[in-house]
Amino acid sequence: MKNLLEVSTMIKLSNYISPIIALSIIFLVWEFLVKFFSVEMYVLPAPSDILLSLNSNLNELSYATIYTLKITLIAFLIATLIAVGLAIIFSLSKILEISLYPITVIFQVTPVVAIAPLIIIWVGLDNAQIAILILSVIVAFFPVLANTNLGFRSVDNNLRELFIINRASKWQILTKLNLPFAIPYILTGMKTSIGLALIGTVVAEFVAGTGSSTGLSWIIIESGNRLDIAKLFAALILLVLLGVFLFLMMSAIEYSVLRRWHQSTK
Amino acid sequence: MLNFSKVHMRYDKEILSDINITIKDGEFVSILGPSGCGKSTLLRLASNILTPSEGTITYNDDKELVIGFVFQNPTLMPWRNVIDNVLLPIELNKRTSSRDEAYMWLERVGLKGKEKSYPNELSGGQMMRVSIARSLINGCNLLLLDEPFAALDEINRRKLEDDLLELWQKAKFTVLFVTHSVSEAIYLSERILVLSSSPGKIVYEKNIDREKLNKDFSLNMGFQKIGDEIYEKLAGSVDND
Repeated sequence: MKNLLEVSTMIKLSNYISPIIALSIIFLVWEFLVKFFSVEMYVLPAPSDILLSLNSNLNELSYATIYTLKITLIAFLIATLIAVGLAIIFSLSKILEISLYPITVIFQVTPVVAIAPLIIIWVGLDNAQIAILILSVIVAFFPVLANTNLGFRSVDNNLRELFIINRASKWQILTKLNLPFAIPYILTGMKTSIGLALIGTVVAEFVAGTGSSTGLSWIIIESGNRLDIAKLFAALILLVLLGVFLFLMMSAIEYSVLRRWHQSTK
Repeated sequence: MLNFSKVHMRYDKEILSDINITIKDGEFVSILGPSGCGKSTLLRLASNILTPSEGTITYNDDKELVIGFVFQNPTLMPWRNVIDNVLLPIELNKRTSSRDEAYMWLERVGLKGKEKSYPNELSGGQMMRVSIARSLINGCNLLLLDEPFAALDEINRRKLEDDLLELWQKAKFTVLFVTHSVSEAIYLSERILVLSSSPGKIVYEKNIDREKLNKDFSLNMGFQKIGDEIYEKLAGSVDND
């Protein structure tokens, strides 16, 4: 029994250690190859150069990271509210669902870069931030809508009957049955959506960004133009870390909400 | 009094045909029948979830009709703990009630100490007890049970049957109990109705004289005789199909 416990602890530890070792090896090989073949800095900087650049541009990069994080989180929250709101409307009115759902699918399948110019014209060139926010919301809202919709449709039929027998109002069915039942579905949608909100923010900034928006993607564009590839990589690494952080944050929220009662957390 | 008069129920085909039943206040009636004969549809008609295609269902009682429903599965809300599951009907009917009432019902169904547990921390039998407590907390005068003990093991089933009998004998609500099990129907009911298969029709009715019952009723010869008689009718109702 003790041996089994030790083996399982070791497996758990190796789950964390293995990727760290793998990444370290990749960085070491990268460092060695760049130095060995004397690769030019503007083609591929060594990891140590990227770290130096990260250190020397720390203020600018931190500000850009916070800016991108802020836009992503605001877009994510707006997208979630719109999506859950729409799913509630759809659950209350079949005719509205039939009428509006195809429009939401159109938003989902249209590439954000294709509608970016329109959004920029509509909000004005001086309002790049709002354009980025709108584009990010458009990219992020669909997974929450689709999952919430699925959650509402999956409500246990017997539970629904129990509410009807007890003469529950539509509002009671929504707040005490449909919404709580759909929580795991909504959270799954939000987990996908938060990553898409980041992608949406980055892509939108590439398309709609100007000097007035100072997120990580603007730094990537600017560093690329100046052939400051070390800084470009530094911004890229921060973007990856931001994505991982957002995913872990959503996973932690999901775990804390479902911990006591949902099978997925067992 | 619950009264079914010339009730027919159709979806694509006829499910129930010419159902005429009168159930007196406080009576315990079981419905027996083969799978797919419309037993559950009958309960849903009695609970007003469904409306009959033909015929009428009436309740003649001075008191307001309050229905309790126990499904085959416990049908608990996994996000609510035991006490909050039991309190649901009270919340929905906006009745002001203290939690003490829910605690009392949980104690009566043998779940004292489990109030704060979540459904996934309970056994099948315990979940069914929560479901029964929930159906009774509203002071129901008509209790509808749809094969509630089918998924339980023999020991838990017998315990729950005894508890249900005790609760019914104390509160004397009217019970309509759907089951597959002939012995369960005899053990619990005052009257048994046998439905034929597709479309469901009442083909046999048997009164059980509970006055004669004693604790070891289930072991005596009378039980066996009634069981054989009902089983024969039940088998006949399937063969006739």
